[in-house]
Amino acid sequence: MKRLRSSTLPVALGASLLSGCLGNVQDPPGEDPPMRVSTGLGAPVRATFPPVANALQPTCGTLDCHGQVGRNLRFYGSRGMRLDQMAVPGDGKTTDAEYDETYWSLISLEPEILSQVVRDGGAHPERLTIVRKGRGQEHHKGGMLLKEGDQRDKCLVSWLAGKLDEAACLEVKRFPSPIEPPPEEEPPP
Amino acid sequence: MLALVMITAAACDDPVRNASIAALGAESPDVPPGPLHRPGQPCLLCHDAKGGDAPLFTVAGTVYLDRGQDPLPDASVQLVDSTGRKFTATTNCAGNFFVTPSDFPVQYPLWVSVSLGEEVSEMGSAVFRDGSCASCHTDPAGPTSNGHIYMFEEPPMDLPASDCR
Repeated sequence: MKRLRSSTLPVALGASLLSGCLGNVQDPPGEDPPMRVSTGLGAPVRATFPPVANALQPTCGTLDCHGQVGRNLRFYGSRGMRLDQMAVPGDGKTTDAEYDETYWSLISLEPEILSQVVRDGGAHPERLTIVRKGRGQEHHKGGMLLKEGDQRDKCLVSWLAGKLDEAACLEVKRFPSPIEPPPEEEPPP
Repeated sequence: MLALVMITAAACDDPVRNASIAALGAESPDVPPGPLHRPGQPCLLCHDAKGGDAPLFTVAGTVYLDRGQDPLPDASVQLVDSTGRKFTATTNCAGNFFVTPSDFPVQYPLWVSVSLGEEVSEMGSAVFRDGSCASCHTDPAGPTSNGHIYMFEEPPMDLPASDCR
């Protein structure tokens, strides 16, 4: 990927958005752009992140886990920690600002490794700690929450690859509670 | 030798845990340490492996009647863990319930519901690592907590009040 410089930033941004697979790491919202320091880093696009966040938050972003301010990986959203001081967990929907904050938190964890994974089309995502820990390949207090190849794993890994499997992400929303059996689905007409 | 023991002891002490416990404040003078004490506080902060004489719990918390401060005695707290194993605890007159490892050695994640009679309230998310309800369910409600655990938005008129003494 070409190093991003200020004079080529608009072109690079447009190209990356059109390609839909490699995102430009933009400046945080609300802040003046700093003096140009080109990082040359890539990341999955923010635009396709909400289904991924929605899929991960029920397992990763609960208030006792990554729905806390003290964590390096922080999830904000309707099912956990809220960004708005007037909001309460469980109320309403996840806001765009909350998706933003979670996105920035995730892509900031291991930016260089993430950039490599993205540039390699998502190959070997286990290079990322979030994947290894989620898959239980590294000690993780929350246990194994991604089974390699399951819907949640496919959701995350496909997003990293720039080819979001949105169906997988949506399937994850039906995370079953064992307290009651899941409602029987009506047979297709 | 004594210096080595003291250094080791100091290194084993947990300043974060100690500070968290100190922040809970002193015991209520009206309630001696025991099953009725410290409602609404994160039980496993003390009732953990470092708790000394405090009994070890795997899950513990307080259930309130409504958004106020009245406890809800005799509520059933149903627990189901990732192995499908189930356990039901019952709140005492202070609204407290507690589960020991011998009762229910939790394999997270854990799903929780609270019921009283026909009324059932199911927790909206699973618990993944912390058996203290009040680690998350703190007051007042805000961006990092939806407040303490309660059963009713509008409690029934015929519900007897707690008779804790």
